[in-house]
Amino acid sequence: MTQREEVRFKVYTKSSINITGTNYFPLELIDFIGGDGTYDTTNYKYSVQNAGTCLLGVSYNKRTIQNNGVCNMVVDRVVDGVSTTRVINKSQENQTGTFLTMNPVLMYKLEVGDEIYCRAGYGNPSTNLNSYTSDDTLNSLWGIRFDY
Amino acid sequence: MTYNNEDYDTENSYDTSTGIYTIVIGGTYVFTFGWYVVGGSTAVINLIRKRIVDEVSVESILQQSTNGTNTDNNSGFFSTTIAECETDDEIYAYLESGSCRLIPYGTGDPSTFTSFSGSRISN
Repeated sequence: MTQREEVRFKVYTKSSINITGTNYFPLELIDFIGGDGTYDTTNYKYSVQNAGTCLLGVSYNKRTIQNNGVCNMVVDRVVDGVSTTRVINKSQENQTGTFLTMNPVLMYKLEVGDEIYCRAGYGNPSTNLNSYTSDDTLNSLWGIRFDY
Repeated sequence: MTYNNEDYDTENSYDTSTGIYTIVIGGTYVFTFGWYVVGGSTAVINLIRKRIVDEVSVESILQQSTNGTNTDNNSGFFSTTIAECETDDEIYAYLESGSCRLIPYGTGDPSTFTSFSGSRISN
């Protein structure tokens, strides 16, 4: 049987950071990255090297009860030589509780050269409930290509 | 977390009495699990991968899910992640603290309100 080697990645942080403004999700650790594609641990962007439809997911924690905990999953794409930025998923919860886990998952068709990352929006989402040092992955940003 | 009914299991590797799935073929898997809030309780549920390393059992959290506080009774939480697994790894959802429920109220077959699932999608 021919084994498939899908493009895939999973990145995370062990820190508990309240992400203010529209700052990037500071996910500086790589759990795994396979196939083509690269992840920059300094600007927190995954660069796509193979076009295709990917299953993408992110998990994080909301904060206070009024807090929307907005996370925008973003794709930067060059179109006709012009750099564009598009939000491909916005997750938020208003008045639903505090410190709960948020875990949106979606399918999206990616192109070579796309850069994927997450940015905060209104409500300062948090990367983890608490910082930790164990060999665990409580929350993460991940993706895996499905179509070949 | 004992999801005690089996819808399908291609490798016949899920134990309905323990809630543990044992990996038969190593690779990258997608896993999902769901649960419901018990009003007034903060539940922390971890998706665990238990692996024997140098004859020592090592448990790693693959994904954490919590309702935090002030979340109403019977709210549903559904988590999805991917993880690299090796043959004989054990995968299960574990209630670390608090209370939760798998069924918010009575249902009968073939309805499934929540589940624990996995699928191998790469080497």
